[in-house]
Amino acid sequence: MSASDDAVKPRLLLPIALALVVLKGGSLPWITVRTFSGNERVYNLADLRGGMAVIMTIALVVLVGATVGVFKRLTGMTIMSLGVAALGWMAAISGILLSLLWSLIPSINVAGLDLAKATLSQGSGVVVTVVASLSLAFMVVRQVEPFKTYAPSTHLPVLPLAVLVPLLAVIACMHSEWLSLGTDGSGVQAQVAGDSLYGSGLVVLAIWLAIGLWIGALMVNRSLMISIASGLTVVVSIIVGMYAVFLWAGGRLLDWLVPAKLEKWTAVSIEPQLYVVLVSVAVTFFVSVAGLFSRMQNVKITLGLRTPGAVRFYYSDALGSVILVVLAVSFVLRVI
Amino acid sequence: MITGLLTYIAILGLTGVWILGWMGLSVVVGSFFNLPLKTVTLVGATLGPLGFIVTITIGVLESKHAGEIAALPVGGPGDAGNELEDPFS
Repeated sequence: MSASDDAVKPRLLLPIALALVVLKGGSLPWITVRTFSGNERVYNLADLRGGMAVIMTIALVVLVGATVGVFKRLTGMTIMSLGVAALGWMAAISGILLSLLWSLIPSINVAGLDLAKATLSQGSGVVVTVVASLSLAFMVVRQVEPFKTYAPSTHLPVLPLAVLVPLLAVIACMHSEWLSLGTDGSGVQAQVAGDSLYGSGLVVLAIWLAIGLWIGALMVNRSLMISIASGLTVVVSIIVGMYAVFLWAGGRLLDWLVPAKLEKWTAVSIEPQLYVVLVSVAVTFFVSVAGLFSRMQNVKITLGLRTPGAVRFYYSDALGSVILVVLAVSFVLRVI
Repeated sequence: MITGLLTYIAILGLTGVWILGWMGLSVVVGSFFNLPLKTVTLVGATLGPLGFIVTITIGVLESKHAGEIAALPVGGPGDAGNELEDPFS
């Protein structure tokens, strides 16, 4: 194997780090149920009977993939990617299915809980698992023809990076509380999360699709990809923006109009996440609109060219190392 | 024990059906655009519904690219005046 072959091959550290992030995501909350008594219950895959066996099976596939990857890089990465894609899709399907069901038919029972008296949200584990598994999948896909010819190696388009940061903030905040309603006497408290609003299940689905398309636009460097992602993101940001504005205005209105003597909700508080959503959605909207113009689509950042003889610096190794350090720190903190 | 085993089979089975389903759809669309089978299989299996959209996008880009190549004249601008006579005509 020549030195040039080694330079062309994808590096193995980042795929392994991403696979470990997906496995870590399996132990983070996938579903959050907030009852009107102010309690919050979280569920993940490990809470299910047989769930740990599923995680161990995926871990075994990742281990096999990493071992094969030492000898046959792309084959190993593909095995790892297929394994974690299974876990990623499990997270996505479970969360989306339940959110969709609840946002359309709120009167269902899940795990003995009457969801008419509670709100249901996806947990942070879904975001972590899906984003990491999609990133690994795109890393594999960009190595095969004809994607190879469309994948940038030394230049990255700026727009996907500029949209993904606020869009990930939006999806993370969609699963957290936007508004809290409470009563002084009985201690009853309702926490209204972004994804517990009517019809929000479909919106969450569209946001996930937009995130995936932007990750795709980062890998497939063509204006068509950016245009499709921009179009969907503009629509999604308008809808989420309207949700946030209406809830903010409604909360304010309720706070002003409902006097404290009424026995129903006496305390209305707008949570900071709602403001994060408003700002993020505004940024997402303006950047996505810019993405519809070809002049903005061609703005790129250069990662730097490798010169022969110089010490090689791999961005993927740097990112992989950072992810591994974060995982190690979270593990140590959990043990302590 | 039995519940755990059944849940394990159900979860993996459902995910397997999901992955195979999207893989199949991507293969159908990929074959329409004459994309390599290995690529569309991988894209559909790992990216699911997103892979389906990506396959369509790449298919459109590839057909556009193929169309541009087909539209090019056989002789380039530098060949003007250098046409050879066909010895078989």
